[in-house]
Amino acid sequence: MIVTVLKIAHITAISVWAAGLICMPFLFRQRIDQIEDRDLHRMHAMVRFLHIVIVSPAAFVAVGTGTALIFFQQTFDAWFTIKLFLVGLLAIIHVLTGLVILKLFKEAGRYPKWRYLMVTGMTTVVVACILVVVSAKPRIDAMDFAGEIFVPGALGTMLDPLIRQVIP
Amino acid sequence: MVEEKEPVSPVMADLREMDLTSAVAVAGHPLHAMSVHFPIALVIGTLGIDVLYWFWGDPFFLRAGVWSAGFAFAFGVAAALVGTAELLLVKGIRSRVGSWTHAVAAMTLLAIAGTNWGLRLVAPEEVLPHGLALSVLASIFTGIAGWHGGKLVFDHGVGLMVSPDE
Repeated sequence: MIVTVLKIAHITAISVWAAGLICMPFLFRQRIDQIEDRDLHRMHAMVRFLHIVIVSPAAFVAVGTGTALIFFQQTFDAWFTIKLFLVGLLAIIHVLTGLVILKLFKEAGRYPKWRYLMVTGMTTVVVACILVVVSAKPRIDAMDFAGEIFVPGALGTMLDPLIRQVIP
Repeated sequence: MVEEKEPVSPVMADLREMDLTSAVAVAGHPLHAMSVHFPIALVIGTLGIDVLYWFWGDPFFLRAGVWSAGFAFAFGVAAALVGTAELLLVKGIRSRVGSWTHAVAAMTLLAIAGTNWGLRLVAPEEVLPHGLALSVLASIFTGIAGWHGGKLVFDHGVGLMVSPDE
């Protein structure tokens, strides 16, 4: 029961988070040169509201419920680490979006078109990748990547010639 | 706070009037800023332990890693509870974009640190390279969340408690 509730909250929150991040660059793009002060302040307040009241709390709930689910479901497989890496990218996009909000509404703040296209595209790709990974749950054996390099003690063996040069 | 030369917009002017004082403190010391050092040190320490295990191959480091990853997560949760209380209780903190981006980065760090601990409990044989990869990822997010948190305290004076005689 508790897992179901957590999952519903998790998926709902992550949808709001992803949707918010995808549409934010479009809003930033509306900050143009010939904007009236009144409109600018209104837009500023609106973008801040979207970030502070909707998108960020959604991200917070998404990651928080996700962390709880890790322990309820014991997901310590390689696909989950790939998902975590992708969520990490989404969090970095979130941080950068926050930094844009802080700069965009100053006098010289502008959001170029190439950036709007690039960030929207990138965010969509990251979200799509997360959906693919969590739906497919690809069977990846982490030990396939181990090879001989990651045998415990291998780093010492590899660095041994180097160390001998320093300490004969 | 750094003074801007350009006129302050009404949106930011409202924000500046809000209280930023820490709500969760012991004898004038904000608890969140005090407690974050433990998860930071333990996450980076876990990465160090993994590298030492990779270097020496001594199973001692495998067990040390379980404990350091576990306490990194536990202290991280503790610091997060205090941080979340500050975030929700203090109007001047919850109305800031920077507070929320810091919170999101820190929550992501917790998810990674939790997975890193769980992996060591369930599948210790996967510490190299799976745990090492998680330790690297966790350390990167410690940097991002820590940088952002430091900016909030040092640049914006968030969560400080300045005594009246100063």
